Order: sequence, then structure tokens, then C-alpha cells
Amino acid sequence: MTLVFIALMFTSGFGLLRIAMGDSPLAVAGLLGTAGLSGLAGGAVIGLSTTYTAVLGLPTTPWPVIAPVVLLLTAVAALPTAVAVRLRIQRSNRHDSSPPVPRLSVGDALSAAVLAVVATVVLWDANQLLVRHIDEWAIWAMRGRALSLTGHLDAPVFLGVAANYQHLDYPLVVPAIIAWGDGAHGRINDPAAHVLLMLLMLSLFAAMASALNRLAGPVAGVVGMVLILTTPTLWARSVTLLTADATLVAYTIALLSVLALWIQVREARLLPVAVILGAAAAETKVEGVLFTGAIFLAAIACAAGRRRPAWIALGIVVITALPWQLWTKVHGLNSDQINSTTLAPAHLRQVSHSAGTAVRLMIDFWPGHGWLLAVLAIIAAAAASTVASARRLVLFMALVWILTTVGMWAQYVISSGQDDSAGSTAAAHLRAHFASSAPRVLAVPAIILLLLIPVCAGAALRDPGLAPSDASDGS
Amino acid sequence: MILVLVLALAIIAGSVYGLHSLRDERTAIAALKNAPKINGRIPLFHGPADQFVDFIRANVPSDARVRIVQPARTSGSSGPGATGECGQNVASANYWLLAYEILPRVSVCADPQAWIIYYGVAAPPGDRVRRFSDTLAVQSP
Repeated sequence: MTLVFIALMFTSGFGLLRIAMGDSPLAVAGLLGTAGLSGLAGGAVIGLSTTYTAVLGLPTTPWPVIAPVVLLLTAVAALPTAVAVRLRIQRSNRHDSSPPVPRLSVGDALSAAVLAVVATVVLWDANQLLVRHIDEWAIWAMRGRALSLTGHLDAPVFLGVAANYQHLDYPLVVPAIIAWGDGAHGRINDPAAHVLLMLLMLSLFAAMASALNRLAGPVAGVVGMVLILTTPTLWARSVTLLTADATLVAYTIALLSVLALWIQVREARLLPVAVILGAAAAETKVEGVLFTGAIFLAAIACAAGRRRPAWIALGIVVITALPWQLWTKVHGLNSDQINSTTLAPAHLRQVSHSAGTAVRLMIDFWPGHGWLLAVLAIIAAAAASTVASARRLVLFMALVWILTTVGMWAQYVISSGQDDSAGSTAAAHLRAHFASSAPRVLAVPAIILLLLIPVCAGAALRDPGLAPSDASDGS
Repeated sequence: MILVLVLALAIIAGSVYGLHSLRDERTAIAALKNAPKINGRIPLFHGPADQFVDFIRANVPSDARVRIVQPARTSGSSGPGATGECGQNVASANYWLLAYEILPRVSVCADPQAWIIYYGVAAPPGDRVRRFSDTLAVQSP
């Protein structure tokens, strides 16, 4: 049954992509890209439909709402082209002026081979994974199991400040996927939940590799995958836990890849895909709102002549996030780091002295093995910025990295404390905060920095003639 | 030329560190595979409470609300032996773990209709108390 529920995640994602693109995802993203985007979109379907179902007070078990949505989208995925065109789900079976996307390019085939090896290694014995970490039982698995076992947003758990339930403002995409895995068996199922979340990371590899191959040549996808593999603690810890850190990486880096492709190849049908990925990222973790906003704003800055559709896309992402945000605000649930107290001018003046310390700690705790790869990324970006056809892509990637990094720095500064009566200094508190969180939450900007290497180097090395002219605007 | 060199160095360094990451992931899974289990769970309490979870599941209805009573932490004005309820001023990690393991029984505060779970605290005498040990027991409302 777990395999059926996994398959439904992918097929419903395919159906959603078909509706969003107005075309067959295969025609827009190729085989590898479609496989990856379908998994991620399927996770978004489960996560967002559960979130909306929950805040409306409806059951959060697969029946009667979430599974029908998944099955309906699966039916859309299975429609023959002629029927899909007649129903106006697929608006045309003729492609627009964009260059045709090969079903499986050489680069995609190479990436798929590497991905097959990585997936085999990562998933081998994954059915042995059980809840074992405090972030699982105190936060993410707790919320997931509350959804699957109580079947609704049970007030004592989800509003349970008095009973000391934790991080009540955290969004529900990951708990929803955990609950979906439980729903496959009608009881708690740790391995199913682990495998579903691991598949989102592997879906990222497929989606990102396909996008990078189109952006930057046939080896860019493999280099991108290899570089993400280097992220310390991501694989041994985050990927094997029922927490949201790896899922946030999956959605934000996929969003980055899709919008980079949208900017460079001017494929309008990618923008709705970005909306889906951005909506899921923003509903995965609090930092997802920051990362999604940063990526969209950088895309808007770099998409001269196409800013209006990008603003509209960002607006839709904001709307998709509203139900959960409103529900938490209505019930008085606030972030313990960014809230009206920590954003008050008096508090900001008090914590401003931590700004320099936060910079030093970001350098100390930056996720990476030394600075070799970071230096290579800066060299690649600098060299590629001298190539006209790659300049816009370099600007986009660099802007995203700067915005996400500065955003995380600001979060650390704002949430830093003061010297307390027990003699602990604010700097000591901040160092402890970094030690516990930086390897996880700085993984996203760290990966963005690393991806400058294949994107910038590959794009600059490609035939400049491949860069589209401004006249062929896909929007 | 410099970009080709950058890509080559990235692939070499990335492969070395990437293989290291995959090995760490395999090690993490192997450690779990070989870990002792109690009824399919990892014994995260490292003590009698690992079996107490099954006792609660067997004795407390799944739709019940529960008040979890634990030893209060000896800080501030709280003296040794005082009790803390529903996760307030207690060993939080143990509280969250117990609250997780006994779901869908949900932890509440000061609800007279709730079952009481004595977790590390001596339960009072009475017919409504079912004891797993001297300091691990459940009490019906």
C-alpha cells in the first residue's frame, strides 16, 4: 500500500503540473525534469490540500478530502491528449515558439544514471528508519501523527501552549506528508514517512539536474547533484529524519532551478511550476517564506520585460500561504524568533550590537568542508559575469544568494538575546543558537552558493548563440 | 580555461565530500538497523518508561485526554519532590517523547475528565489507579 501512496504522490503531481502548464509536462520539462517536478508537485498537493482541509476544520486523514483530490489529479494525469485538449486542461497540443525540449538529452541521461546510483544508496534499508530524534518526536512527527491519529487540527496539540506543545506556528507540509504515509497503512508508519520525504530530495535532484543541463550544458546537472551531496549533515541527519530541513532544501533549490530556467530560456509555462514550488516552500518552514520571497524578487529584478507575470506569480504564492498564516494569527500563535516583540524598535536597538557577532558566527558555522568550493563558486561567478550570454543568470544566482544569506543573518540578529542574570552573555546565547541550527537552516544559502559553480561555469562555457534574444520573450 | 579548471576541481572535491556524506548516511541507517527495539520502537526513554508506553496504550482509551504528571525541576522556588503537570517546569524532552508515543491521547492541563499519567511520580492509593511500577501509573477520571 505504501507503494500505491507513493505512486499517487507522483501521479497527482503530474496532473497538477499538466493543469498549471496547460500542456504535457513532458513537453516542457523532459522526462527527467518531469519525474522530479511531479514528485515535488505531488508533495505540494498533499501538503497544501491537508493544510487547507485542516484550517477549514475538515478531516486530515486521507478520506474524505485529501485522497479524492489526489485521485482527481491522478485522473487528470491519465487523460489522453485529445480529451485533455477538449476539456481545455491542455490548452494546446502544439508547442509555442520556445525551442523543443528533448525527452531525454545526453545530460539528462547522464544525470539519471548518477541519480539511480545515489537513490539506491540513499534508499537502501530506508525501511529501517524510525523516529529517534527530539526534533522528530517534539515537533514534526508529533504534528504529523496528531494529524493522522486525531484526524484534525486537534486544539490541545495545535493550540497547546498550555500543554507545552512546541512551535505551534510551524506550517504543515511535512506533517501532512508524514500523515499521508500513515494513511497508507491506517496506523503509524515511520518507514513510509521517511521514504516519502527522502523521495522529495531525490525529486529535487531530478528536477534540478534537468534544469541545470538545459541552462549550463550536459555535465551541469551531475556537478550540481555532487555538490549538493557535499552539504554536511544534510544526508546523515536531515534526510534520515522526519523533520522539514531537507524538504525545505528540496523545494527552495527546485524553485531556484526552475526560475533560473524561466529567466534564461524564457519558457512562460515554467512560471506556474515556480508558483507550486514556492507555495510548498513557504508552507514547509518559516524560513521558506524568506527563501521563496528572495528567489522570486531576484527573478523579478532579472526578468526585464517579464516582471508583471512574475509579480502575479509571487502574489499567488502569497495567497496560497494566507490560510495557514491567518489561522495562526487568529489563534495568537506567533514565531518565537520573529514576532511583534522581536521586531519592536527598542528590541532591534538592543540586539543591533549582535550584528558583527552574527557575521563572524555565520562564517564559523557556514555548512561546508572548508572554503575551497565557495572560492571556486566566486571565481566561476566572476569569470562568467564577463560573458554576455551568462550575465543575467549570474546576476540572478548571486542576488538570490545575497538575499537569502542576508535574510538569515537578519533572522539571527533579530532573534538574538541579551546578557542574562545568570552571567551568560548574548554572544554565548547566539553561538549556542548557531551551533544548534546553522548546519540545518544555512544549508539553503550554502547550496545556492555551490550551485554558482555549475550554473555560471557551464552557462559561460556554452555557445553564446544559445542565449535567447530579448525579442523571443516567452511571456 | 579557468572555468573548465573550476568545474574539474568542483567535481573532484565534490565527489570526495559527496561520497563521505553518503557513507555517513549509510552509517546512520545501519546504526538504526542494528539498534535494539521494543515493539518496533527504538527504546528512547532508556528505562522502564519504554514498556510503560505500551501499558498506557493498553489501559487508556485512545480518545482520552491525559494529564501527565512528572517530577518538577528543582529550580527557582520549586522544591524537590514537587510535581509538574502537562510539560510545565519538567524534563521537557521526556515529556514530549511520552506525549508523542501515546498519541492520539492528547496531553491537557487541569481537565477533570482527563486520565492522569504518573510519570516518575508516586501515584496516590485508590481503585482508579492502575500501576506499572511505584512511579509509573495511570488513573482513570
